[in-house]
Amino acid sequence: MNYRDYIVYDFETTSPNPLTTQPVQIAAVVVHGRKLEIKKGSQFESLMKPYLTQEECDKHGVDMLEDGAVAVHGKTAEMLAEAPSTEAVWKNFTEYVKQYNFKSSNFTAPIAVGYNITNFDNPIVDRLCTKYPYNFGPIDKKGRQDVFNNIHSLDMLDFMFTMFENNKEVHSLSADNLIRGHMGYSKGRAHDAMSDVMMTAELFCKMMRMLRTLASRKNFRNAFGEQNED
Amino acid sequence: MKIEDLDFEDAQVWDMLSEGRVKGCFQIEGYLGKTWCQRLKPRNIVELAAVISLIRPGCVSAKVNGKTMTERYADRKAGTEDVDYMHESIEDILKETYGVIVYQEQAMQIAEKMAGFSLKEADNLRKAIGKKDAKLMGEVRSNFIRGSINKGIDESKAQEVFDIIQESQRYSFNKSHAVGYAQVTYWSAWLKRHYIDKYFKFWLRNSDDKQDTDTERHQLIMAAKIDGVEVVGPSIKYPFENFTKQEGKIFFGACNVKSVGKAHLDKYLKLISEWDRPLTWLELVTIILPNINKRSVENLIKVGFFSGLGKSRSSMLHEFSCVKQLTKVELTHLCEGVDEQNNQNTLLDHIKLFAAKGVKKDGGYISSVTRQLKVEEIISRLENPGRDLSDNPAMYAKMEEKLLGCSVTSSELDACAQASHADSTCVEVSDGKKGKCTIACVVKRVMEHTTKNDETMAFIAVEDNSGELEDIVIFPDVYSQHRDTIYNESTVLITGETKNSNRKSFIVDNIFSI
Repeated sequence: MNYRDYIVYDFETTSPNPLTTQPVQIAAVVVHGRKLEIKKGSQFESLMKPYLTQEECDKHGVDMLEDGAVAVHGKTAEMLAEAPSTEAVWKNFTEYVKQYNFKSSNFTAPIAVGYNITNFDNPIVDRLCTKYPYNFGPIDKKGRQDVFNNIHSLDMLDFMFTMFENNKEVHSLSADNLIRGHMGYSKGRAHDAMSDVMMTAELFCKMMRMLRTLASRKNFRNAFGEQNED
Repeated sequence: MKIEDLDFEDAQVWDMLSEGRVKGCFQIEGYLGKTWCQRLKPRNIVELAAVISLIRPGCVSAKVNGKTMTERYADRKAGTEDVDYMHESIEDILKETYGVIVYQEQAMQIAEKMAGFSLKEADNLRKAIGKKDAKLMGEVRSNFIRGSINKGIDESKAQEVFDIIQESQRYSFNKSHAVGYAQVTYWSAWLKRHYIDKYFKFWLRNSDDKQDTDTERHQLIMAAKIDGVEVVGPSIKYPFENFTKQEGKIFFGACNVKSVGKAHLDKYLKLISEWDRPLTWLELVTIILPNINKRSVENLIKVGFFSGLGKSRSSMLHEFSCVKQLTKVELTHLCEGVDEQNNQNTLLDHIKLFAAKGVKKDGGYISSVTRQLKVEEIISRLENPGRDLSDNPAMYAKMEEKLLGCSVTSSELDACAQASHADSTCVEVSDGKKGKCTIACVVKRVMEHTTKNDETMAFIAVEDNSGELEDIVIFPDVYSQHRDTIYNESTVLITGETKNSNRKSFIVDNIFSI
């Protein structure tokens, strides 16, 4: 029985390379682990101040805020100069996630969910955990991040791939094309972290309910046994 | 007055037992004791002894001639089954237990009266049955039948009586033992009835010694609610070690919170004793709490120990976490600015003032530029927590459940808007409310059962803010549709009706997840 909550999260960043990019905004929302609905008042959202000068970025080996990135998310250097530091926001965020882990063990920690998190957002979490070890130690003995559950992580992009890869109506699995375009999701502004998170969370709840319903209708016992006729 | 002098005639005590309000009463405080007390409604010490004997596992589960001994006793007492004494010569022996052989002494008396056994031989009968010794049993059986025939009793009747003794005696209980138990049960029930606050206070104190403290506390708090005793979380007003009764309520002690030890409480008490007035949250978080074990303080905040100070638990946790990032020296200087005059300022104001004084070389108190950046980061954290720091009942219910063993200030239901659709509470239903009822509740136990038709049904127990409701039955047609909704800790609206006056089962006909 799953009593862990899901945390749908998203970063907006300075560049497309997860190993050298800097987060400029983080947003998250909690989905109830059993009811599969968004928990009221569970949103987290903050801008994060990146290194803004070339000198600082070179010193820390990270990417400057690229024009292409600004064009996507709209967070300009002027806006970000006033934002709280990455470390302060990350501490607040780890505390926020910890609030939803009622047994203070990684096994019961919330499960990370997002769109394309496996290749993009999760590596950023790993980097932040390494850089800002804090409180209960976001890195465990095996060197893994210890903020979210480190066994499960659900990437909605993979869900979409399994469902729509061969669908001729779907030309791209990007969230913009598939969810906002094909599925017609129209709430909020694309590439604002909070808006993207709410969209992903709603999609996640819908998909999970569908899969759970299917799984409860189908009897998997002896599914690969010789007697099975399905 | 000595407890041994009680006369076992207090009608209020017998009413309480008959209503199943038995939590904490010796021998009968469990589920079996509660349900069978409700059904058998003992009104004197002999009946109570019978209840204690009949709720033993063998009596409740093993069937003799198609019925368990407990059911047979209950049906005969209720008059739904005719009382059969088997033979007129033993009617006197079996009269008090409606013809059911409940006690070992009864079997021995029957052997003495029907078959003319000496007490030594009768004891051999008890031993033979208890030890399941086939050889000895064969001897005793033939002696019993021979003795009965000698007394003019028909052989077939003698065999029938012996078979029933043999079957029922495997589960029977020693009467002297049962009556002794029943006395202690009555005394504990009498104390509960007449000193209810103290009774629950001491039972709660005792819960630490139980194997499963959380379950014990949860059961006690639910039972206390039904008996009108309010149990509340720990409070800064009463910083005692253990459960205490204050303002007509039972307060948790600070050390009843997980990870809070006596040493932590002593340190807190020592630190606040230096002040001759109650401290504000600002003073506590800057002067007192940073000196106490971090986890203890966090847990106390989570269970609402400081809630009387006018801040939400989330914001207190957040501020405490920020303050813990300051060094001892920084804290000392930060505290210099906190006193009665400027108590209206927030923590953020104080840290900003502190940071504005700059580093040491500029006349401030911050040791280095690196630390100055850290202080600025703390200011940034306080200014932008990133989340809503107002109180969240569902979250606190979970925290209290984890740290106290039971949620006392709020329940997950408080966060469910649809809970307002309920028209009844658990206690109203368990008190016998008739007709269709809708209850908003949290599921606490689910026991699935497979029917003869290989369908799955469920027996569940739920609770709401009023108390607990057990004996809820969900038949297969309803359960198959709502199986995903019913799990431990799920919040649901259930509609149904109490049927079957004997067991008072609440039969569910619809379920909604809320």
